[in-house]
Amino acid sequence: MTCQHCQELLTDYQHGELDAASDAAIYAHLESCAQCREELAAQSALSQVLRATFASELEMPTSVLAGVRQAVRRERAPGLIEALRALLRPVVLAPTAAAIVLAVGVVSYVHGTNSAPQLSADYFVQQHVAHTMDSQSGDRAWNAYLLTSNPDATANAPAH
Amino acid sequence: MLPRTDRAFFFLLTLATLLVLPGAALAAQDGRSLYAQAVGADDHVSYSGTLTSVVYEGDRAASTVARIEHKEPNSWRIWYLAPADAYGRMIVSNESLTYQYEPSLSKVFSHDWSQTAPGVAEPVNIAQVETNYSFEVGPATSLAGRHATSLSLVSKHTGGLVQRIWVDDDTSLILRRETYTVDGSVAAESSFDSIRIGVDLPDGLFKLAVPNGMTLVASPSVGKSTTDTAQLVRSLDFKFAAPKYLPDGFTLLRGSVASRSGVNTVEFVYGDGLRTFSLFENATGKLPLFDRATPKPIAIGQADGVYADVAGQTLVSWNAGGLNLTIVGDLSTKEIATIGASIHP
Repeated sequence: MTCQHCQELLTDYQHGELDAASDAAIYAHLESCAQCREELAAQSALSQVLRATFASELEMPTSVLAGVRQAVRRERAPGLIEALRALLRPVVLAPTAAAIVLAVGVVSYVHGTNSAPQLSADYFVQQHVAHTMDSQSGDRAWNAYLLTSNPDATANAPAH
Repeated sequence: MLPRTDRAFFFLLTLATLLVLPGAALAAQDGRSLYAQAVGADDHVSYSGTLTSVVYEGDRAASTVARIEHKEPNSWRIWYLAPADAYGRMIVSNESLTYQYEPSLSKVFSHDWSQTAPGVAEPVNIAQVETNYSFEVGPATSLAGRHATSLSLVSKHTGGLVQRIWVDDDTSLILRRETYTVDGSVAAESSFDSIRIGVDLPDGLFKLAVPNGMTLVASPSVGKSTTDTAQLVRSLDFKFAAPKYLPDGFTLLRGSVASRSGVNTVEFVYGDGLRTFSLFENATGKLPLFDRATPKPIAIGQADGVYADVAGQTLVSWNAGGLNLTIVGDLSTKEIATIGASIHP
C-alpha cells in the first residue's frame, strides 16, 4: 500500500467504515509509516475540535436539509444498468423467470384454445352426411336436403 | 336298440329338421336376394314420384317432401316442395357431380359427391351387410297403389331390428323405408306418396347447366375421402387418437381432412354395411355450437361431454387432451359413449 492510497482512506479508517481487509492493510501501513501516522493524528485532532464546537444540537436550515435529502435520493436512485444488475440477481431472476414462463404458458394456452373458432353441430352433421351418401341407412332426398341447407355458410370458393 | 316309440320320435325329428332347415335357408336366401335386387333397382328402372321423408329428433320431427325424377342408371332430379326453407330448391345429379339450384340466391352450388362418398355410384357391398344382418321377408302389402313385400334387416349381433324396407314386387324399387333406434322406436321413415314407373324422361331434364343470371359456386368445403388413413394421420398437425373399441361388425371405411374457419378437422368413417358413424378430431378443444338442438350432458369415460339429436343423427362431443372429439352417426348415445371412452388422446 502506498502513502497516497493510505491517506485517501484515512477518514473512513478513522470512522471504522472500511472492510476488514482494507482496515487491516491501513493498520499495517500505519505501523510502518510515520508520515501517515501523523496525518491520522491531525485528522483525529480536527475531528475532536469539530465535535467540541458543535456539541450542542443545532437546527439545520430547511433548504440545506431539503438539499441533503434530494442528494441522498439521487444517490440512492439506481441507474438503468444498476437496476438491470439488481434484477438479474439470481434471487430475483429465478422466481421472476418462473413467473414469466408460467404466465406465458397460461396466456398461450388460453389464447390458443379460446381464439380457435367454434364449429357448429350442423357442420359436423353435414360432413358426416357428405361422406356417407353411399350409406344404405338413409334416403337420398333427405341427405341431399341436409347437404344443401345453408349453402352460403358452406360455400367457400367459386367453381371453375 | 331304441324302443319303438323313441325310434318314431327320432324319425319325426329328423324329418322335421330336413323340412325346416332348407326352408329357413331358402327364406334367408330369398331375403338376401330381395335386398340385393332392391338396393340396385334404380340402376335399371326410371321413375317419377313424390317422396316424403320424416326424421324424428327426440320429441320433435322434421320432414321434407320432394318430387323425384330418376332416369336409369344414374340421373337424378330432386325438387323440394317442403320445408319452406327448401321450397323451390332443385338438385340435379349424375351421382358424381351435383348441381344445387337456389333461385332465391341466384346461385348454383356444385357438389362433387364422388370425391366425398366414393361408393355413391358403386354397387352396395351386400357381403358386408350379410355378415352383420339377417334378412327376414315379411308379408305382402300395398303401397302407393303398388304391390310390395316388406323386408326386415335384423342385427346378427344384438338381435335388434335396424331397418325395414318395402320392395316393389314388379321392379324391386324401395317404396318405403323405416330405420329404428336401439330401443325399437322409429328414427326415420321415407315413403313414396305416388310413383310412376318406367316413364320416359328426356335427357335435357338432367343436364348440368347454369341458367342465365345465376352464378356457379363450389360448395361445401368437404374433405376428399381416402382409404390411405395411415398417410392421413401422418399429415395431421396434431396426434390423432383412434378408438380401441368398435361395435360388432364395424370397420374403418375411409378418412378425410377438411378445413373450416382455419380449423383442420380429421374425419374417419366407420360402418357395418348398413349403419355408419364418423369420428371427428381437431385441436380446438372446443365443443360445437348447437343451433337447432339443446345439448344434454353425458359422461365419456372421465370427460364431460354433450349429446343431441341433430337432423336424425346422434351427435356426441367432448374435449380431451387438448382435442375436441365429436362422433356423429345413427348409433345410440350409449354405443357412442362406449366408443368415446375407448379413445385416449
